[in-house]
Amino acid sequence: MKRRIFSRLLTLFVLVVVLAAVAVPVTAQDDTVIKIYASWPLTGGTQAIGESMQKAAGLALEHYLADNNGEGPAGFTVQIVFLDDASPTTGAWDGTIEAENAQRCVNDPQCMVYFGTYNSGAAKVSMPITNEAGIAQISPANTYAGLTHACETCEEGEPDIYRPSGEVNYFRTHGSDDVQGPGAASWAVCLGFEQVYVLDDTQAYGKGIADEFARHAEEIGLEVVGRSSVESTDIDFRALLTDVRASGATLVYGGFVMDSGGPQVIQQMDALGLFSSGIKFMGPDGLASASLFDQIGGAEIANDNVYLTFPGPLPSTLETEGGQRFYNDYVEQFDEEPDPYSVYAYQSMQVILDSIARAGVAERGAILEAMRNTTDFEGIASTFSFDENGDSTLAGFYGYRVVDGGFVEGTLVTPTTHENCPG
Amino acid sequence: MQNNLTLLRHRFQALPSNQQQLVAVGGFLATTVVAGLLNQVISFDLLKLIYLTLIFITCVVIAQWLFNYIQILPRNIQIVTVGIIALTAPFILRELEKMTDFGLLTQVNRALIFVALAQGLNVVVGFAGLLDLGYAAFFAIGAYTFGILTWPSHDIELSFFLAIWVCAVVASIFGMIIGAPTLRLRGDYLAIVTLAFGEIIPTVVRNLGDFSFAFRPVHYLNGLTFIFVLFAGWLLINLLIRVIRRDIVDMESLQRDRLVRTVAIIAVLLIASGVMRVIASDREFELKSWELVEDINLTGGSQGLTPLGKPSFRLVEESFGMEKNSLRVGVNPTFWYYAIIFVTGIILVAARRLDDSRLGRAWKAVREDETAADFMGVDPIRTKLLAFAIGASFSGLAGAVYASMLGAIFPELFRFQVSITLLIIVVLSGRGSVWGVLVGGLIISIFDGVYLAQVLPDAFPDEPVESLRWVFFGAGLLFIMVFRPQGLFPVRTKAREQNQGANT
Amino acid sequence: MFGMSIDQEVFVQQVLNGLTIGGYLALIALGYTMVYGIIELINFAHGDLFAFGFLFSLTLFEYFNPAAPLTGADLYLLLPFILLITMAVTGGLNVVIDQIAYRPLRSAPRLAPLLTAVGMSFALEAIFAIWKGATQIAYPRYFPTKDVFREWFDLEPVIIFFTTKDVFLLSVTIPLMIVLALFIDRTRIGKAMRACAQDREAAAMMGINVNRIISMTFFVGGALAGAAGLIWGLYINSGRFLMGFEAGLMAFTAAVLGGIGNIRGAVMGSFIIGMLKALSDGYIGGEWSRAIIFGILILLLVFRPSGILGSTQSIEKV
Repeated sequence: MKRRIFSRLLTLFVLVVVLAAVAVPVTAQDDTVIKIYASWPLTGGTQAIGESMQKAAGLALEHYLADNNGEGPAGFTVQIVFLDDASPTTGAWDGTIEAENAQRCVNDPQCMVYFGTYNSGAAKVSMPITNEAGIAQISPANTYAGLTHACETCEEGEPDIYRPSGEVNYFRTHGSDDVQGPGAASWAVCLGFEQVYVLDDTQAYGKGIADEFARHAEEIGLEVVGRSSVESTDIDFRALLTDVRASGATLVYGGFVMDSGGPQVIQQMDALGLFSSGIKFMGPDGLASASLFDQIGGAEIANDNVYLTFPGPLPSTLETEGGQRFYNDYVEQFDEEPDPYSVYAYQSMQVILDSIARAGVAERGAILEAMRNTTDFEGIASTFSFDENGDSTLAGFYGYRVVDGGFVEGTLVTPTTHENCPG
Repeated sequence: MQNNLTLLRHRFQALPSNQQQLVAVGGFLATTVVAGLLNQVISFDLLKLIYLTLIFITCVVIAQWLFNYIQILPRNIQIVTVGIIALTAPFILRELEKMTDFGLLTQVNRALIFVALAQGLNVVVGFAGLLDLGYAAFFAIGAYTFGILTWPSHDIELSFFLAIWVCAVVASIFGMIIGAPTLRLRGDYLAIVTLAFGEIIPTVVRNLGDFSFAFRPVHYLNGLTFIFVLFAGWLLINLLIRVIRRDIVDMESLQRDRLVRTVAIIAVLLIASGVMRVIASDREFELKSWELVEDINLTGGSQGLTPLGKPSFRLVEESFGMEKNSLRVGVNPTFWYYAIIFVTGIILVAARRLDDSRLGRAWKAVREDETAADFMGVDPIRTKLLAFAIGASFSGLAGAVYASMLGAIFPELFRFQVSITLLIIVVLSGRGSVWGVLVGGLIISIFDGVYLAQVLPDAFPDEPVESLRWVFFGAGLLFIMVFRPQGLFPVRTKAREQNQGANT
Repeated sequence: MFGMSIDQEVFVQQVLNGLTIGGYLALIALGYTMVYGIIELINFAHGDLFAFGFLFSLTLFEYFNPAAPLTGADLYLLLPFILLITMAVTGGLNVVIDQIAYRPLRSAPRLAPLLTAVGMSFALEAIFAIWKGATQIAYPRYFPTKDVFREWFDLEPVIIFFTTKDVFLLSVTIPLMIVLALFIDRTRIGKAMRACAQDREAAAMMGINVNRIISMTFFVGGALAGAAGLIWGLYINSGRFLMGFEAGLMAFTAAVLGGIGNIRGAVMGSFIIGMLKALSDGYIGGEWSRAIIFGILILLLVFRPSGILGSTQSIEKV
């Protein structure tokens, strides 16, 4: 018996050695490499947006290298590790995966910047993790106000509860929903709507912006005749839309993203004849993507019926030199129109590379400090600085209407737009 | 075709048990590789995939052999070996991690949590034979109780070490509440009712985002000390073990038990001192802190609760004059490994004790034949309720630790898939086998979290392999169900019966 | 319209919504109940056949590529043709699923096929997600939509919106159910099915090819789910890869409500569930509908396990 045990232990030992020998060649730790972990949905309902953002971030790095004779920031080789935070079982972002992504960054000594997220709810999960580790996080798309500063409809204690270390480590290069929601309400007044029905998807972003919209709407005399939440797993909204019809609303405001029920609501509003009886839909930046048209079954449904707000000019209308270069190179390289949010993926990537260059060392703290000190940065959408909360100093939103399958007539919307309507 | 299959099955069943296991695991892996190869069209790193598959198979084989050796070894050497492996694992894994780029230790932590959860389900399904399709509900209750107790905006912020036990208790209460209506039902109908509960609870959790007219206590438990919690935990474990060993059958014997009495006195003293400490501290503490709150956000709705409390060692920091928060553990996987191994260890020991206890035998009697068991003096109602309560408490404990490790919880965490994954772990490992569920749970969770979620997508970057994981699971499930219906590591009933015969 | 107030019209509209939900749920629930009646298996993969019918018919439409909305020959020939093909293929898929996942386990403990059924369901969902993407899938408006009250009767309801699509849904589902009832009541195969449901061994001894009858049952159940998928596509015009799971849960609840194994019970249960869902969506809030439906299911199982109409078999067997 003993002998057998011994011989087996020997085989075991041999196996371990073999295993180690097999695994060793994979080893490669390089001091000159800086990794950026990017985390947003690359599959599921938001796939089109996520992939466009991925391409834009890669393009930003490419352009940087081209401008600096192939030399990375401060001599480092920058790698972007793209992680998907969508769950294959639901096709929508998943908090568990997001937390694991952030933990992977924290536990990888080469990870210096966490680049994400797309969904504000996901940022609530990763922010405390990156904050505690002192890693800079920059989001290309989150607009929920409570991530950076307190607001009227935000949760108590926000944003400090996401900052266990007490330091600010989260930045965004665009505005937030306490400007966008009220701006949309003001714009709706300008467009001549008087009764509005407000819907949301119960998520951080969707509910947050719907709350802001409803709050400001009541203040400026736009009557909120109904307020309801939608389950993203539900597939049949007829009963809800019957209620909308009965409420006498002429506008439906929906706080949605692509994978949380927004396309279904628009599609069924059309199928149930709400659009044909003159009721319109207004949505936030989460629905501002050409992929919306595929999911609702054609742009003709949205034409003249859908209004959307977005935190800046669209890729094709960028005015800066860098912006035009981005747009032209993107179209040339990938043979498709960039998604609106790819602008901010590109711009955030610019900020990351600039921060690494200014920090000069591969240290999380130094890069975070450099990012915090970003001032008068010339991005492709605008020139901005970060304030003490990590917000961009430039926080404008534009209203777009859908005409002929495209977003047109970008008008600047602010919470006071209704006092002096454009055009 | 039917005949060939039967022949194959017979030939397979003639093999010795450990070879069967190897063939089953190997077949499972081979299916995934073949499916992966069939699926690929253009670019893939075949060499790397074969490499990593080989490594994975080697790991499984090592785990298998270890499992077998440890069973032959004398008991004290067993404990030492398992102890050494358990204690050194994170360092080995950290080293391996540097080589492979996969978050191994994090995945092992997750796997251990799933083992703990599966042990709870094993009590319900394996021991007592009650088919539960909504077990994730208890996981949810544990995790949400933890969330509610530690979410900063709720202003309770109970210490981690105290909160996890509260979660276990709350989950076991819910286990009994949910178990009660199902006691009359058998078979499929029981499964349907548990499934319905499993669907209702996440829905309720989603809708309790805005909850009016609730009370919330303000800062009332922050002062309780770390040591008190350790004692309380020790007391609980001891009590549990004594109840299981039938030292304590009613209130009278409870009072008679000397150990319990001593510990109870110490506990009372400690609680008193804790309360004193709170009152004496300069924190604002008023008895009137139960205030009426309108519109409290209890569960955070679909957004879930984030961030949640992490274990903090405020008292240790204070007494050793260290900087505040210097011992915060955050996402350090090594720390979490030890925390989880501690909790999972408690659950394993409890499950093992339960297996051989009077209650364990009662469960098995009910499982085999409820009517006969009733006739022999086993109270099926009490027995089943205890199965639900104990199973749920394991799950509540594991859920609380998981919530804290993740730092966030969402209703999405507790969907049907989780219940089914756990059920698959229990059934594939061998129903009713504590060690089997441990090994099987580790292998299946790591297979899922490392091989399917990281290795395959790495090898086939352009293919949607991650979405195919349920295809693999389905195939593996069918394969094992057809060829080895008793599971990979079934209970060695025969061996044990023989031993028992020799002892008595 | 007809002197109704707006509130009354809303109520009528919600009842109509409930009716149409009940219509497609019934087609799915029938498959659950038939399979359960014969082999006492909760076929969890059944709901996904509904999603398969949706996706497959969409693929067929894309292949033939008719102009939307359908007119003339497309409407009267192509649509029934696609309906038939979809039903046949979905039925066939269900038979294949049975052959792969359930037949090898016919003599195994009850838990085994239940688990493989769940595994099969998840596997199908994963395949759907890869097949058509995990996004919202738009189904072109092939069926011509006319507002019945406004365009046909010149009435002016404020709320009520009842279109030709609703008429289509009811005029396909209800005849299908009647045909099924006749099939089971009148034909030899139907009789054999009932015999198998009552006692499989005795039926085998009487010379019935039990395996063939089981395959037949799977085929008919799958075909009905496939039809439901196509009807849903034409009716709601959008879907997702997970739609089968949601609809399957509802339909399964409906089958249990009516007494699982009971054909008429399943139809009745479906209309009750449809009505419950519509009214709870409309008057309580959509977010609670699931909890309400499953709460009723639990109460029913605890207090009246045989369902409203009772099962065709004794409860002891269950």
